[in-house]
Amino acid sequence: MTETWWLKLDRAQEHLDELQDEIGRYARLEPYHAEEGRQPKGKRHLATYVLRFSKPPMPRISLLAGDCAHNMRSALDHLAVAMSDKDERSSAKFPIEEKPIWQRGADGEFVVKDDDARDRFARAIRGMTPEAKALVKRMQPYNFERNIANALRVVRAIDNADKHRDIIGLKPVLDGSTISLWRNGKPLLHESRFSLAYDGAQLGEFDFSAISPRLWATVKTNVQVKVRGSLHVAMEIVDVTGPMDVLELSPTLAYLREAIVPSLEQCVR
Amino acid sequence: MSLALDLTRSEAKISRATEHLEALKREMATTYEKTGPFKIWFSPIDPQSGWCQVFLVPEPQKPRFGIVVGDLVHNLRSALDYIVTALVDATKGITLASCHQFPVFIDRGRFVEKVGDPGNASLGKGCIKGIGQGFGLIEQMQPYHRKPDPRLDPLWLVYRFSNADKHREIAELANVPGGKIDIRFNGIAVEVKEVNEVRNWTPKTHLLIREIRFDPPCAYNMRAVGPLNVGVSFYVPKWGAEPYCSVNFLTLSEMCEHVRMVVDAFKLL
Repeated sequence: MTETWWLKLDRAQEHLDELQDEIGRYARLEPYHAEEGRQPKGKRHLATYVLRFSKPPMPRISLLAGDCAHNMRSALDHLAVAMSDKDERSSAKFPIEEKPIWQRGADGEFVVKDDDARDRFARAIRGMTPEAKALVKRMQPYNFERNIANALRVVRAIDNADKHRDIIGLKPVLDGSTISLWRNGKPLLHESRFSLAYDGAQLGEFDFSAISPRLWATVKTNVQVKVRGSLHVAMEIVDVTGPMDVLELSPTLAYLREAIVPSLEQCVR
Repeated sequence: MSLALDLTRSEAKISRATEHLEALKREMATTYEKTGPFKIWFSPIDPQSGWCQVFLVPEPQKPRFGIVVGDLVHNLRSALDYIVTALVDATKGITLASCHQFPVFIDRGRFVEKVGDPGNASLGKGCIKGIGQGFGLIEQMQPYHRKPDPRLDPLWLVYRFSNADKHREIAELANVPGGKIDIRFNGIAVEVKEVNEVRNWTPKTHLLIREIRFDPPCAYNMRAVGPLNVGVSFYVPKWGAEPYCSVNFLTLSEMCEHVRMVVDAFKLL
């Protein structure tokens, strides 16, 4: 029989596939448009446009992301149990720690003053071999820079958020937006931005100083504004700096399958 | 004063759990239509005595079904935990911590020791630390109020299955055959022993259902006719002091409904 951690990862993949379909469905609705923004004071020749989302992402996306992360987290815990001695399996789990709890300062004391965290960590890996313990410690997110989307950090953050806190909050975001102004079926102007644009973000600023404000007022009524871009859905998670793309789960799962789980499997007892 | 808790997120999780239950029923029906959970095996006829044994042999089960049960209970567990999240949000002066979750106990003494006694204390401790309003209702919902066996309480089943699934094992599928199978053959049966009571049978082993004596000791074209009733249940094995625990489709459905009832009770607070 396939080991349970692989079954869990397969199930996470199923949720991820469904998640991608759901995001595709949402993107096809093109739930965004440009809205005329406030004119900067004293610059009546400038026309600004901001992004508005007319429909929030379906809550189902959040539920699917939660199920996906839960299965990844479970796969790691199942592995941790299999890596532990039979007598210690009741307390075994895969610890994921953000703080460098094992790091010692020049004085030989622990840098992080959190004995509870160390106790929890030690209890979770108590039944593992010394090699396995070292491997688990090496994989910890605290060994990697905070801004790197470390796979374990992603799993922990999403699973914790989903399990105990709340359904994960979702925000639509447009990547690589282009706004264009059209009149009588012909393009007038366009502007592209390469940054991520959330609801209310400025998409473009057009300078009409070459024509009189009165003429611009007339022209404006016949102008069609189009917005294009790649629609993403970001999760708002307390533990993570800034919103995280839901599809970050995809490289996370791939990394678990290809790197983390195969290395840990070597330590199964 | 009414708390007016917003528990729409708990409700979304319960809906997701129900979705998993319906998917499970559909998938199992499709699988069983293709290949039943059992096949019939006839032992060779003993040339001296003429006896032949008829067995039901369990087909290997897809562990996938147990994985879906894992997702189902995970969502129910989250629905319960979100109640505590909502209570924390509604309580001034406390912030949500990782220790916060919905307590589930089958022993009142343990509940009082770990969480507190709403009769004596105004605020909960441990996993409901700082929660005052709702503390009494949390206590009323505890499985230890169920007589005679608190282990049959749906909340306890959610707790047991979600813990097992998250850390250790996937729920195993047990198919229990029921009813009578019609056995046909070309031969002369002079004696038939029906097996009406089965003892010490486990769902993974062959099950003797009938013994037939042929005289002369030969028969041809032996086959089983007609449908077999199958009772489907999922179980998690013994864990520490906790005995084996099983649920069937009806119980899974009751678990969803019970959690919905718990959520509704908190909405009235």
